[in-house]
Amino acid sequence: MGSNASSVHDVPSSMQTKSGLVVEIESRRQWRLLFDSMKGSNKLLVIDFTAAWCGPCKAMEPRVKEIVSRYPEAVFARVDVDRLMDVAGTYKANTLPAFVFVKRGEEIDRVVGAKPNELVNKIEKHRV
Amino acid sequence: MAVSGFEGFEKRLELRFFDDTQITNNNPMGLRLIDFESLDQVLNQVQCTVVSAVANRSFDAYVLSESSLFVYPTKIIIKTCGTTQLLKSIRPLIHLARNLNLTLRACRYSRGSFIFPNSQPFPYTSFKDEVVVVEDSLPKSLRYRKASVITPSSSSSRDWHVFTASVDVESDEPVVVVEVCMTELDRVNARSFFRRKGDDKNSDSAGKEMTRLSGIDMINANAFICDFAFDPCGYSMNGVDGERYSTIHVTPEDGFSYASFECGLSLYDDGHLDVSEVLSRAIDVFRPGSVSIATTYGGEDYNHEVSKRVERVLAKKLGLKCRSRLMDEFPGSGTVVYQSFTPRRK
Repeated sequence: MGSNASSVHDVPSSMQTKSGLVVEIESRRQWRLLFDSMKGSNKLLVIDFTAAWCGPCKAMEPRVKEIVSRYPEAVFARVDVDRLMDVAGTYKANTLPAFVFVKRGEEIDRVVGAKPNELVNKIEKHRV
Repeated sequence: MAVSGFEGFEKRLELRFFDDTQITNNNPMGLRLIDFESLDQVLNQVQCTVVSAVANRSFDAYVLSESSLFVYPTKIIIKTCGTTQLLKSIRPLIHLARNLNLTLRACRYSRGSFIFPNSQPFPYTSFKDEVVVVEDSLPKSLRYRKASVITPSSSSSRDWHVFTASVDVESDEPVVVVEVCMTELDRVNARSFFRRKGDDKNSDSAGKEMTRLSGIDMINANAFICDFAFDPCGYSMNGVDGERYSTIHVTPEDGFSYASFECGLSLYDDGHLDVSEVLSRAIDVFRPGSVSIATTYGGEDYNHEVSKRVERVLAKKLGLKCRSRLMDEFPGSGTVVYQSFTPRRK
């Protein structure tokens, strides 16, 4: 084991922030509208499940923001599992953070845990 | 035996806070409300950093560059290896908890025996010095204190060091903590924990592969595993299963190979998790030449039968003979049973 592993929290200073952002889902209606609107296209939807009680989610927030800004062609939707319990239930989001990748209404992959490198990897893999 | 190498043996710190219903009703999250920046700063002082993390409704679990951190509403567990300065975290954590109106109830500091004791910085060169530092960091309200070194008479066994301090003389902690330390790992099994040359994986996916190949995912099939692979070798994972945590850390290099397995569980799990089975599976991953198991029973529930059953299962399934079983009692912190095993042939 070595201590040369980089932190989950740190944002590389060379990054510029663009305007790609995360859509905060406030209601089931808003969720349905977004989900249905994306079913027909080949666009990548990444659901970012979080909760007020999730420390690791907060730890990763700066990295998520930076990653999201790099992929404006994908849609990132943040869902609070206590606010939208049935959406969380549908995707069995109990262990957080959970990033669920959806295309044409189907789940194609997920990353569970504060794992920024893995998140980037999978976005690169599924973005086309 | 190498002259010097990475120290796998961890230092472990557990801080428990009062679960005052008045407070926790207004603040069911308790310690989980400590903001990440503050936690990161504390870890900085200890000389480690977060490399992966996961949470569920019961607790937050962080994998560190040098082991693990678990945050429950009224309990924090930090376990760090190498040459980290774990005891530097005590004062800042107590302070952060106080800001959330949480009062310290008990503290436990424990560790095995270092493979490279001379490589440790002060005060970790002597348990007596560590105890002085811990005592200095704790408020006077923790009146019931005890330091003990459990020394097996068997020459192949290592000592176990424990210091506890508590406000109450009675402990009602329902969780039983089992800490397994393994050395002289089977060389073939240890190979799983080296990164393969030219693999195009990142630490997370390499970690996932190690979890699968080594059989760690079968220890408790119910648990979600948050894993991480170090470069060029080494592995860590935190397991999350409802309220129960588990954690494994591996230093696979020959000459100073080490692996630890720790879990917190309730004896009243009505057979959902048989401790002996879990331990047997965990130890089987590494087939070590030497194993020690320290079990801490928080309350009055020390059960002779559980220890004996563990010995029977390990003997039958892994050919490990128990060379020593010792016990010690700690006011306000329960009973510690310390067992040492080596393969039958030795």
